Amino acid sequence: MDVSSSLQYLFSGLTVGATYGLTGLGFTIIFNTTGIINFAQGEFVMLGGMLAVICQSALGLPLPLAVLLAMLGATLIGAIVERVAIRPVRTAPPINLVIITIGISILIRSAMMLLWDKDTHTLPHFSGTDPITVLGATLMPQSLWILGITAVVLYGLRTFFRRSIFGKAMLACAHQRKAAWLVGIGVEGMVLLSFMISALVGAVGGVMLAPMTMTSYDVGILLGLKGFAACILGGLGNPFGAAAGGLAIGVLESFGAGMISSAYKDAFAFIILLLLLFVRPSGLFGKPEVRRV
Amino acid sequence: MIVSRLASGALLPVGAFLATMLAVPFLLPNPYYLSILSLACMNAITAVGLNMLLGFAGQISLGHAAFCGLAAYATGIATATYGLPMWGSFLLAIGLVALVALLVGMPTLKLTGHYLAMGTLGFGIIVYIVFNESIEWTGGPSGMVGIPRLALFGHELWEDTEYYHLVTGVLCLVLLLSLNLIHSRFGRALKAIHTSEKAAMCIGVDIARYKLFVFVLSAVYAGIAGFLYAHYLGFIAPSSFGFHVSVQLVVMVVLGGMCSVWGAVAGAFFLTMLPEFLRVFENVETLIYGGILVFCMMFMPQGIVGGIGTLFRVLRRSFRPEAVSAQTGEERNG
Amino acid sequence: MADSLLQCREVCVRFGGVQALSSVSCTVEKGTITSIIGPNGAGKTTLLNAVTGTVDPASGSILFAGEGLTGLPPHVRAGRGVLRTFQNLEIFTNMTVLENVMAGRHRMGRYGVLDAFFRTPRYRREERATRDAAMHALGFVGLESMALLPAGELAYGNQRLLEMARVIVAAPDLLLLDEPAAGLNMQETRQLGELIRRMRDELGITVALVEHDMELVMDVSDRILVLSFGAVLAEGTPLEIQRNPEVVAAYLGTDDEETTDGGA
Repeated sequence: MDVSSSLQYLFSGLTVGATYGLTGLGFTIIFNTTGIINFAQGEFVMLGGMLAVICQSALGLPLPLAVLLAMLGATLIGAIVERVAIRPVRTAPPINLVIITIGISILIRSAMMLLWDKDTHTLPHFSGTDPITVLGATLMPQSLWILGITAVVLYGLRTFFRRSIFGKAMLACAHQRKAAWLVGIGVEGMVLLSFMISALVGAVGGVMLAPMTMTSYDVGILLGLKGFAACILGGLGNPFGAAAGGLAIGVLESFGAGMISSAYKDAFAFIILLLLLFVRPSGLFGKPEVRRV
Repeated sequence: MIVSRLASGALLPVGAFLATMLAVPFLLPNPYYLSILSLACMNAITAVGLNMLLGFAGQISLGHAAFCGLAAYATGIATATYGLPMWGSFLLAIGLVALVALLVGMPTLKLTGHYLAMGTLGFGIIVYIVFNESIEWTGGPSGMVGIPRLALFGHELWEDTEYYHLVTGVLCLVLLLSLNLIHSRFGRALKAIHTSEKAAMCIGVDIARYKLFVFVLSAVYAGIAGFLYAHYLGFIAPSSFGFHVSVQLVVMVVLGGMCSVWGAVAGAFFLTMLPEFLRVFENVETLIYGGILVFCMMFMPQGIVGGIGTLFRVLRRSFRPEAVSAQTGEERNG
Repeated sequence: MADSLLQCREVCVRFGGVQALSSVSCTVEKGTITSIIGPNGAGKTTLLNAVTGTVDPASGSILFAGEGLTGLPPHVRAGRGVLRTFQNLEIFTNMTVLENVMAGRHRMGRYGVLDAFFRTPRYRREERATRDAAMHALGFVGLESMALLPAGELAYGNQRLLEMARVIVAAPDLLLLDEPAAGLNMQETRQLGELIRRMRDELGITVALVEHDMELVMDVSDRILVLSFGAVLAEGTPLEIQRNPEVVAAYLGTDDEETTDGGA
């Protein structure tokens, strides 16, 4: 395989992988404050893309404003989900909450289908479609946007968790919920915040991917799946592991599609993921469970 | 009292269930309802197995639809393509499912919690992709046609009522065996693993072996359901065994109530029939479906069976006011 | 020493860089109650875990009834008659009290899956025997009236008793109790001491007891092993231990060792 085509696979893998990573990041943030996997995470990604499409094409708003409104809209829906469906039953067993998020994902998906339509849509690229050529491989400007925004989001979250009082409080919840509660951290507020942040992060991913791959009411299912795989691969609970896991899955898929067959690209990524889990049962960067009796 | 409670066996409730089910064709002589009930029975067979894994042993699987699919495709290929006799095909399909479950379960069941969910989910997706892509065997995404109708002792079950009787019978058999297993040392070992793995191993339970056993058993149940499904519809497509079906099976178990074998049956019947009832709403069908799912889970944390139990307790309490004060006193202490 | 049921020979356990047990040797004589005491972090529970197999020693050997246990998984050791209870109750809350105790008899189970599926006479016979044994064990600890309650509904003290019944029913040769008096009040602790003694005298169970409650330890023990910082500090009868200046120092701290007070 020559340099230019491997580079090509790497570019497309990283581009898609960045959105997987952002989705995985959303899973991780909610998991850390609640201990549950939010099956509606993929719908937040879908909402980002679809709301932007609605604002841009139907309401005729300029793209930056449409993007901004889409992100705000998704964040608001994240908050509503937490207040209406999660908070009232927060003491229920985790599996019940997971099933509730499955129900919510069905609700959001079908509501979007009813309010809008079943077609696939696209957003304009953020800065044109003139490809950049690097060593014989082409790179779309949108890919650079995606990688750049992902890096900004990661850096922003890192600063948030390290510097701001809310971020530290959320880390405390992730580490020890009861202890966090005892030192006066409002765990409920943190859960709400985590739903809003992960909806926002998901929507960012959805908005920036929409110009590359098109979007429709049901893209959330597959993206959610890949995001879940990303955060498991990276080690559940570790946000940066999730991002790295997403990139790894994107690249694996891309090389799998290029070198083996496009039909089996998903299978390829999942087989590698399974083999990796058998060797490292807590993911790449997850802490192995210390067994103490 | 203890003796009667434990040794009476499951014959009575299962018998009552069978009688009710057999009475349905007389009350509802509508082939459409019968076919939905038949599908509900098949889902229930899988759900009962999954409940043993999830509700009793506490191990999740998000890939159980793949086992249904493996058996369905195995028997489809064996009978339609190679003309194998029905019994041979059955043994082949179930044997294959058991073998795959064994091989997949050995490394996968070492994972715990969400990692186990991911592992089984990944397995399900890989199998789904294989169904889609190995077109020369499975017919690919458009499916596989021409699977013969099930024949018993040379008699093909063409009548919907006949097939309904068959699947009901198989479901009752599966229920009986499962209830018996739960009320044995094996059932106790599984429940022990669910609450405390360390306590379970310290009373002598070989955890890895029991997890593998219940995983293979539940896969075999799923395989039986898949076999019945293939020979019922005569047509199978990968979408019937995809990720969302696996998730739906888990939802059936949790929504029905993980505390009991009957919960899985209730959940399977409820979720199989619900979309049919919602069909009148046309466009908003899935919206209502999602809403009902969220609503049920929020207000019946113990599932349908648990919810009915709570309802009975509440009713009994409201008829016996003196019991109320005692109950609230207990709650304050607990 | 012919009757020593359990022999630990130079057992070392490491957690990462921490030496939890360094070359601990000890014996538990058949038919006795041997207590293992020591300040917090002395390695008492680690020693117990090494015997039941939930912790692997880095070196050394553990002999039970003359046979090596090292390397065997916990369920095999349980199968050979080494049973234990837990400091933090590990009751099966998804079962009734009776089922908990019946589950405890798992190691004596003989019938197969097919027997269970089809309720063969073999299954019925064994289940009946298991149930009788379980009721008997519940009677032994005084919980028979609560047999059909969900185990999670029992009061804390009764859950402790239930855990005892769950190991009694398995007819252990060696029973390891991990702080069984934790969380019990004085009266319950006294009853527990009585129960442990009856287990030795009436059921012939050899007991190894990890406990902080000195009154209980001095009351029931035949022998006492004192651990400190992962090593054996002293061994002897309760009277010998009470008079041992090193033990007193480890517990109360001496002038030059005040900072390392175990705080037990």
